[in-house]
Amino acid sequence: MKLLTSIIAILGIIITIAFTIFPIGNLTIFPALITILCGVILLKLYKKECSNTMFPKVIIGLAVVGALISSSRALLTSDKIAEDINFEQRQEKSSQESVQDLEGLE
Amino acid sequence: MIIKLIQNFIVVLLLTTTTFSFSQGLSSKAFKSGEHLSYQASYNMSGVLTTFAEVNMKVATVKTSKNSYLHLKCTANTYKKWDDFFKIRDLYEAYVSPYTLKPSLYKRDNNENGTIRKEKYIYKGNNIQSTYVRGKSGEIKANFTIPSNTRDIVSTLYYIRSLPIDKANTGDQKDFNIVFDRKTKTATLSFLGTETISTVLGNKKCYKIGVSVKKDKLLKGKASNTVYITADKNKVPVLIKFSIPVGNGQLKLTRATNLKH
Repeated sequence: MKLLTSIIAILGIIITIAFTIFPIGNLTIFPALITILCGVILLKLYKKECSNTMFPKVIIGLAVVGALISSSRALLTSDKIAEDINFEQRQEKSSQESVQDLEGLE
Repeated sequence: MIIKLIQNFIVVLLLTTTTFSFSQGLSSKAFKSGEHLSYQASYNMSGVLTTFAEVNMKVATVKTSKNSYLHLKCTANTYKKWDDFFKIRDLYEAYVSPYTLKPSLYKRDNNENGTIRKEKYIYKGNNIQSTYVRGKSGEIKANFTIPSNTRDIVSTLYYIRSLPIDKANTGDQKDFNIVFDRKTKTATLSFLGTETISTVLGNKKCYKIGVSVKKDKLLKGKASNTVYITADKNKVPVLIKFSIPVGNGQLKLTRATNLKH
């Protein structure tokens, strides 16, 4: 039970961190919740055994921080496209070349 | 895999919005030079829609020494937040007759995380003079023939918007040809009726159209790929829902300016 919960918690925190890094913030909540749940279970198990509770506390802390960062980023960051001069130049060049191609057709 | 997914997404966008015809012959045009449509592309990840790109479609007039053409331009840009992970800057263009919407020139210039794909078709009747670039290969020229009434995906979209969809009956189906990647694909469109949906233009009664592409792994089922076109004179594609083997997503209209009606 303790081993299985620990494995799930570690996997959960890895996924939470990965999702926090990637811009898919709203998805982070799922692995974070699972990690927090596992962390709470582990915390109770560790307390029952009178062991050091550092591991479950770190897991819960990281999951909470990850979820907060991702959620706030998802809420505060609007969907915007970057100004891309290269792309604009590509479009402009393409338009100019197209006119030449069309002239060639006539 | 993500790059492939995004690439497929853009193809799906264009195919789903470009494959509808229930009757031959143009009715009044549904758009004019200056029209600009913006879409937000989202992908369904574990039941949560995650936005990742903006798609813009613009119409402009281009004049040469002898003729005028409509320049139909479609661009796809990933949002700033995704650019560090995979950056997409895709350009699709078609130059068509303003009267018949028959294409004279089609161009595709894709840059997907540094992978370059370019393509140019010059239409000469049922022949196409194509030039294409894949990755670091130089320009390759290839000529091929197409069945009559075959169009590229960009000009097909606008052609479809000019067709009298209002005369279609629920269950009506129609096939037509689209040339993409130097191959002709047959798309089947099914008129699934009308539905009122909430859009950026307000609550709009829309034509619901199912899309499938024959012999295509990407867009097999008609029920899971649907495009909603406003049931008014503008015939604006407001929502596109699609399902591909690796998931599903949608394209939602976020802005529409310079509509004709």
